[in-house]
Amino acid sequence: MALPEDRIVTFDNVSKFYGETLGVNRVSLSFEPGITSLVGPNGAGKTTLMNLMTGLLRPTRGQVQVLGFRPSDSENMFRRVGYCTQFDYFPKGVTGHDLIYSLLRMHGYGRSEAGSMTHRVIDRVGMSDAADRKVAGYSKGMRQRIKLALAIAHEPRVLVLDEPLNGLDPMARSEVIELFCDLGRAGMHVIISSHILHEVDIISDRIVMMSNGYVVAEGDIQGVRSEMEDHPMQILIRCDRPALVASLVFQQDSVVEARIHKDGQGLLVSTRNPDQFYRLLNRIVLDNQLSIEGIEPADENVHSVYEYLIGGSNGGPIT
Amino acid sequence: MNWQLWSRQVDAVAWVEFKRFWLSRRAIGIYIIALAPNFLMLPLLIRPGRAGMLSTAYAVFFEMFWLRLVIFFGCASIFSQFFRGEILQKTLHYYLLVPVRREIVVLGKYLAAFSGTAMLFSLTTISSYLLYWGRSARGRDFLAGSAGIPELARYVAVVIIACAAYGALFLLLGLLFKNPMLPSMFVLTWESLNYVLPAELQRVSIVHYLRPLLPVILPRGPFVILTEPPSPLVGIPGLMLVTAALLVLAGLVLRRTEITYSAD
Repeated sequence: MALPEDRIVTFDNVSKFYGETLGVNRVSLSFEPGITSLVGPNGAGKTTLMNLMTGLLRPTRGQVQVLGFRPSDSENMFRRVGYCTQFDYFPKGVTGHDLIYSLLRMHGYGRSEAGSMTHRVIDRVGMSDAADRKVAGYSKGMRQRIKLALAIAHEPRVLVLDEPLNGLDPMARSEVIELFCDLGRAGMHVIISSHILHEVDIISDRIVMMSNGYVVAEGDIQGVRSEMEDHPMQILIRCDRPALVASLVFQQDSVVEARIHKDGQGLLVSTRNPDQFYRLLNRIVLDNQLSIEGIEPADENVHSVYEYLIGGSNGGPIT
Repeated sequence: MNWQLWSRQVDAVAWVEFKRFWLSRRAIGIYIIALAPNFLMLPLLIRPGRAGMLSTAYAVFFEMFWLRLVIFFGCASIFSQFFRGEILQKTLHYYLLVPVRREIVVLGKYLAAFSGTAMLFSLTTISSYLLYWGRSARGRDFLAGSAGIPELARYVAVVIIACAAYGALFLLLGLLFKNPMLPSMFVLTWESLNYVLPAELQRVSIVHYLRPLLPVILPRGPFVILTEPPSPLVGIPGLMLVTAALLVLAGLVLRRTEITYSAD
């Protein structure tokens, strides 16, 4: 069932050109609550899309709506939206505490309410010890945290995060990811762009894959993967007699490749028809009394989909 | 219309901007520029003489040096920084990601810049005036008499009005131009040579409305095209209206501003 306009973020045939340079072209998207990741190499248009969503850029064509508001209506929209930008710069001379406190005052909160909200959010991002230091002296990781605090301080319904994991150490990264997951589970729209694909894979409900200003795929990762008929699905079967299985799977035309895993304890099968293959595999297992340790899709993840759709033609930095 | 919210937002923006600019280390340069020339120039002027002559000498100092150079360039460098500086430092987005009308951001920044410049230049005007007249017995008599303090009040009023009007102009130029110093030089030339232009063009100038407010009006040389000086009753509200119009324009420009730092 389609969600009402005030619960979604929509792009309707949006294009953005910087002079003659393409930012994004003919983007039509709809973001629902949950975690959506924007994935693509540098220059794909991820930041442009986020800046369009938050009114820092105006579309050359088309229309963007965030929970029913135009981004140009900043007075209403930013009560519901928080944006953690990629720009790692802050007004000079202010402390982390002052930065957030003054932001909340601009939201219209009274002094005491703004004060208590400031302390709460600083605590939430683990910056209590450094809150009274000037932001100019913060490390990269601390700046990332204070940016995140700025974005969530007013408890928005839509959180837009441009490369929020950059500069964080592994511990901080896992804490921040946990925070995103909490926010997503609470029904917030969390829209993240990231190069760190294995982390995107863990947390995303949906992905939007971009390349050269175009959206090349969108949806949940399984759905996107299953629609990629040009690339046979890879399935890893962990079993006691992989060679036997390999010799039997080729009775099906849709199986295009079967490789014994390097450790000798499994088989990697590429098939164009996974449903048919799973039925065949059931029969093989029963007929031959095989001991199966596990069966799992080997390329049903963001990294593989990225490689198939973008990596070959425009391999940006991915991790 | 949510006036209470808007005033709270203006207050918040102005306070952040005031602290950011006026209480920072880089403001020390501005304080030195505001104070040093003042106190370097004054000793050259201080001579014994009649009160009328002394008044004229101070008027020359005030109009030619203080108003046309120090206050003009002070406003140019301070007000234009409030937007252009933020674009160069890539910090402007901070204000564009809050639920605040962009016109309010303009007003908050303007008030932060105006309150600082008006305060700084008013105080230095007062101090220079007191220093100038306080050095001699005749000067102290003038100050204690009926003319001294009203004259000082008029100089301070001119300083405040000049900061308001030039400030709005340079705030707008800071939004429009990558290097606001070039249009500032054009404005300086226009303001300096304005008196040789036809009467209609003379009216398109800030100094044209400021001069009649000065307590001592100086002659402007042989090439002047004489015009009827505007009455203060027209000049002051006129300059306030121009200031408001420039701020509205700055609000509209900021409303259309996009964040493409890399292009700047």
